[in-house]
Amino acid sequence: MQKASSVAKTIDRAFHVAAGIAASSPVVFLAGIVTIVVIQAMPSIRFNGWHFLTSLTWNIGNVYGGLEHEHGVTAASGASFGSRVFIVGTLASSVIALLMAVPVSLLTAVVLAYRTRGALRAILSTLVELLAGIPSVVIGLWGMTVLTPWISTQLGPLLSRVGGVIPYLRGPVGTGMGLLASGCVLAVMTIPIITATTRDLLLQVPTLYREGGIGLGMTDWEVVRHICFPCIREGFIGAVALGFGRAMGETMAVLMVSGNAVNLLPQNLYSPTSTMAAFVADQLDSALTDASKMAVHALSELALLLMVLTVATNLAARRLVSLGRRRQWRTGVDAR
Amino acid sequence: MGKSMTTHDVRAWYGAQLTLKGIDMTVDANQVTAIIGPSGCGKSTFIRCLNRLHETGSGARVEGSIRLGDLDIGEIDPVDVRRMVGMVFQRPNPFPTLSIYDNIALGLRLGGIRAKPEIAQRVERSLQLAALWEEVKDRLHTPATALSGGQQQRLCIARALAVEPDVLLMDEPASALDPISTHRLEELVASLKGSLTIVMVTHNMQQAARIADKTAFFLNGELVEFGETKEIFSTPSDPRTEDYITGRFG
Amino acid sequence: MKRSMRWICTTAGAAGVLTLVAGCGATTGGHTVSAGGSGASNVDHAAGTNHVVASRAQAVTLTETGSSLLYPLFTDQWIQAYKSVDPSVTIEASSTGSGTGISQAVAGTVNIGASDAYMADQQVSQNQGMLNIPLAISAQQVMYNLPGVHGHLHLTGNLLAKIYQGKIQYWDDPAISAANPGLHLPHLAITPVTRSDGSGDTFLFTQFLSDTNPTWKNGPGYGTSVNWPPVHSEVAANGNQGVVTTLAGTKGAIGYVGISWLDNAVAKGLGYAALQNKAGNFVLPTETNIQAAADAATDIPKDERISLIDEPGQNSYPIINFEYAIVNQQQRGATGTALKHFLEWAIDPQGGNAAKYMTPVHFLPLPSKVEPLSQAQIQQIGG
Repeated sequence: MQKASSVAKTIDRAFHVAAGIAASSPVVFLAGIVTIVVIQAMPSIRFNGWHFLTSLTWNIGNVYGGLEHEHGVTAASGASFGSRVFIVGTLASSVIALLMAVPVSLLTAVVLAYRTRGALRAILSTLVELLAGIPSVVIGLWGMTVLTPWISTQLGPLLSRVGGVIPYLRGPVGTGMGLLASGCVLAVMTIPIITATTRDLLLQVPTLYREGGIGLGMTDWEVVRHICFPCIREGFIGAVALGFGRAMGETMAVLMVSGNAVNLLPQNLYSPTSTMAAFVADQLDSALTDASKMAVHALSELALLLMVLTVATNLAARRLVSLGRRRQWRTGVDAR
Repeated sequence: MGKSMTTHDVRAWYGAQLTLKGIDMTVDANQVTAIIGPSGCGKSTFIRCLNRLHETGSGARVEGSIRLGDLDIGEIDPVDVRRMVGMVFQRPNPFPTLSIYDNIALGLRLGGIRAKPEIAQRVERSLQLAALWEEVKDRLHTPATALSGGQQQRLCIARALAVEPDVLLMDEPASALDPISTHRLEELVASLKGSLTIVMVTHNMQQAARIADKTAFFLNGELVEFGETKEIFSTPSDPRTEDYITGRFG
Repeated sequence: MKRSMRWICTTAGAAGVLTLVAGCGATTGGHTVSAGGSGASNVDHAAGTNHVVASRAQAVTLTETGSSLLYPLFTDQWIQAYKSVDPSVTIEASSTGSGTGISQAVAGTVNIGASDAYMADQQVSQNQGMLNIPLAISAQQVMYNLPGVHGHLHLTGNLLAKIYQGKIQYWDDPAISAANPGLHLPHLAITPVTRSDGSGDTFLFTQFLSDTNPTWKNGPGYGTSVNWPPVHSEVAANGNQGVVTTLAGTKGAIGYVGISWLDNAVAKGLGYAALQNKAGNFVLPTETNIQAAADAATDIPKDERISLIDEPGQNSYPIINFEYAIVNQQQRGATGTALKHFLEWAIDPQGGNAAKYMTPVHFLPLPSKVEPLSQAQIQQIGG
């Protein structure tokens, strides 16, 4: 008896230690990653200063030439690092993605929540969620082989003819690789996220509220527009912000269709562009050949910037989604 | 002014379950008709068929014909049917994100009324009809959800009345209310009598006896007995009705 | 307030521990994975702990990573072939990019870093004992998507530089027509395509532009990734695969592609240019012309870090290069010996440099006068 209980105690102690380590690991990982990225970015922050946010030029310098010293740090001669192209590219492609994804997701979510039932709803929901599981490189490949030629030969020329009054629709279409193509692949990747979250929010709107509208002779659209949507507004904005965070951080698919422009800002909707995530992935290899290591530090600073942006977006999104949920609950109780 | 409603062989299903087994019934214009019966007898389903709300539910289906005056509502867009046949629900359900004023005005705006003075006028009139005006006239633009349960239910009645329906369906409207609020609601229904047709589902037999001109007794998806309220409660012709109103079951 | 401070301190402490653990992990990983392959910096530390592995000399694993151009030669040809040469040696290869190849070889996490480009002076002086050993000759062609234009376009480095500077924007530009008398070129916008990732191909191409256009030399210069002049029609694609796909999908596009991709790209309808060499002739990347350029290379330094761009000779193709194995000369015991033997075999005309291994990947063997130089470098490997 005594022996068994001591074994049990040992197991319990092991359990507590294991659970403690497991539970603390996310925090430790997050802190560790942040620490490492910040440490890696420090020399670049000192070297570039605010210039990093404003300059258009990203030049790792002549790594086969000499070194230069500035602000107590060393870089390849001629090096200067500016991330404005990538900040603009990241924000612009993500916003374009949302412009496409938000209406599609909202309508899909309405259909899933209210217009389908039982097996059909389950199948459609699963399909939407499967879309989220497609590896981004596959979507990128589709973008590269199907989407960009189509933009180049069909959609682009059409848009630039029809929408010529809007400055950003005018101008040369080029290869089809650029902002619009990036926006499209990002839309494909954000739609499942926004749709699934919105569907869940819509399902939380009490049937009683919707029937109030239906019973008053509202059309389906009017019910969604005037009753359901106002109920889920905060949560929906949160869902969109989640999608935005996902779009900003996406790497591979964008890398394959963005045209990866450096040193210049997009001129129109079709211009080649680069995003922060894609650029970091792309440039790390050659950055490693920089003997001064400044190229790696600069990429770390870019990664840090991206991390700050996505973490802030995600925090805001989560806050809004939970606000939306709480509001649901509160009004539900009041109606009693 | 109200219109009559006539149903012929109305059958309704929830999935495979038949909940209404062929109802033939005529609701007279401008009268109050009460529908009583134990839980699950199909009384709520029945009035939800009258504004074609039943068919919006999951797996729900309706057969048979329902006429509103001389219109077959099965042949009219359900949205239009519901504008002619309004409804008040078991639990008050004002639109949670809107103010008191907008709860009523929304239906008017969606009905095509654009002129602000007309909307304001009709909001006031509906609130007066629903006996709520005096209580809320100073806070029309505060959230509707801040009202008490009884006030919310009267707001829902005002909301339904604002679009001037021919028929008002009430699905156990007092079931979530306290006795005082229930009393005021009954007074309100009595005051509306004569100006439109009212069909009210209730499980409260005293309530039916107090306010209804005619009463229908439903049991297991069938209409057992339908007649003048006085007769139903004093000399029911069917033993099942008698058993129910004397409290032997239900 | 106090509690949150303590929480932050604990978290920071935990992060510190994590970093430390990660650091140790990387070092240990390096030892086990590369079976004793270790950077100069941690040789002393490693010698103490790893002599068990070293004394058990029978089975050795050599690791390689880097250039995607060299990868097929390793994985499809050499690894199989070397099994029959020395069954006790296992070679593990991976394709990560030349920059990664160099940095991992320097860090000691792999035995062989494969690279299309040689290490920069700064890198060499910072990392004493790193060898740049040529294994084979490769080349690069300039490809374009011009439907209806048959034969091979004539292009010069100077014209290419102007295209990539945005100074020449249409295919029927007089400067291009002048180099192609009698050829009708369409009035089609040029889409210059570059590599978005760091790449030995970019290194070669920009070296060619630097050698033939003074403005380019002073401007972007050369490197595995350079500061491309801003050109609005320009796009960048990832990897040779990406460049070929982009070229194939874009009428009027031009780009540079590694020779091992030639057949694939031609099958997709792309043309490739005859480039003007130092002697002024327009030459194609044929085996003969590449060999001619390789044979023409003179004054190759002992460390073999040299550009082979624009070599003299009537037939010399202008864009060729050495494919390098980047190796730390300090290797321990059995690993060092195995590495040495493998590299000796790899550059042997009867061994790894035989045509049966080189031809499938469009590489050429080292010229006979270069082989002894590589051989001498290989002999420096050891203690």
